[in-house]
Amino acid sequence: MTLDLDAIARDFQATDEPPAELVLAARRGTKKIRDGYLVGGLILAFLTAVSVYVVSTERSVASVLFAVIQVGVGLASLVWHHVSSGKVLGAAAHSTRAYLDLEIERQKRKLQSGRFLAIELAVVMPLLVTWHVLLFRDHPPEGGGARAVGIVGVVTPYLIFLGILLFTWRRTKRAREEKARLEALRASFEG
Amino acid sequence: MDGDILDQALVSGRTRRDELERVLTTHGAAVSRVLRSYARTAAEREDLQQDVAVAVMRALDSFRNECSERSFVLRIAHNQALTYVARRRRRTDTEELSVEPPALDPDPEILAGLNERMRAVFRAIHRLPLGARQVLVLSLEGLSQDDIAEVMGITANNVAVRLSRARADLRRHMGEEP
Repeated sequence: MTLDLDAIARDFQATDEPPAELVLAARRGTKKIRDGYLVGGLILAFLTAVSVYVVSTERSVASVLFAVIQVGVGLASLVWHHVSSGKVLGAAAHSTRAYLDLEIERQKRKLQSGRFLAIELAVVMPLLVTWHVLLFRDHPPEGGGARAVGIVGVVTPYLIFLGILLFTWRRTKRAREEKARLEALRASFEG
Repeated sequence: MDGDILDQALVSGRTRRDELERVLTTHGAAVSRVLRSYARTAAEREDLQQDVAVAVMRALDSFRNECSERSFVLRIAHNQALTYVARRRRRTDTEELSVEPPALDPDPEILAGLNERMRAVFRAIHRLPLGARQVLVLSLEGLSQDDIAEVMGITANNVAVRLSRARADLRRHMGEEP
């Protein structure tokens, strides 16, 4: 018996399924994205409210700087997320070869930014430690309260750096795996 | 003025949603067949459905009629499905770098509602390497070799070579000597 590929193609194209599932999936996906933006918007609103409160209670350069950092970082994160997720999903509209190349480039950029951050932290950390040592040598905290504030002030940036470091390490590990996977997929695609 | 802007944004949001639903309804059956060709379980198909639907939504703004709408949607569905399968492969097998799926049949729920011949076709499709699978599914979908070349980003000659190999593989997997 010889397979009739034209007949198979006709049957194949006739295996219609009700596309309602896909439309529902689109609605679920759209809702998920909208909810994400809503949470982002709420966090931004909260940060803005805190910033406005701080500036209104203490009118100083430091409080304005605090507000700018809070709102600026929140806003920039939201915009960055919108642009970057749009680029990632938009890439799927390219040809498969171009899509795989773009995805590999994206993982390479992640690896580069991870390396850059590691170098940046390696430079900033000793400077921060030196600054803290000098600060405490010149202005030793007096009293239990001042000492507690001092410890929190010193520990916080290290914890933030540690968090960034762990996040970057995980992100870089994933990017390395993803890059290897995509390169294998491209090799397989090239046949 | 602000009311106008808000109205425009709402209309634009509605138009976009309507347009997305129109595109997914028009090409939904073809997308379902693509997903059936890559997903091994119902859960995977559900994941992929969402990935494809969201990717189509985000890419719709960039559609400039440079190709047919059908090619555009199939391109997105295949790209999403290929990377999904490659990720799945890595998750379940850390020893091999190969992204080629093992020759495993899809779960019966993936093949539900098909006649015996189509079940055999989809089982055979699942045994094909990813590159061959893409070219064959696009061909079964009725795309011309030029359209397939455009979707995959390869030359039409290359499509012809791959297609001939994929058809031979399909015949072999369906128990027929090439």
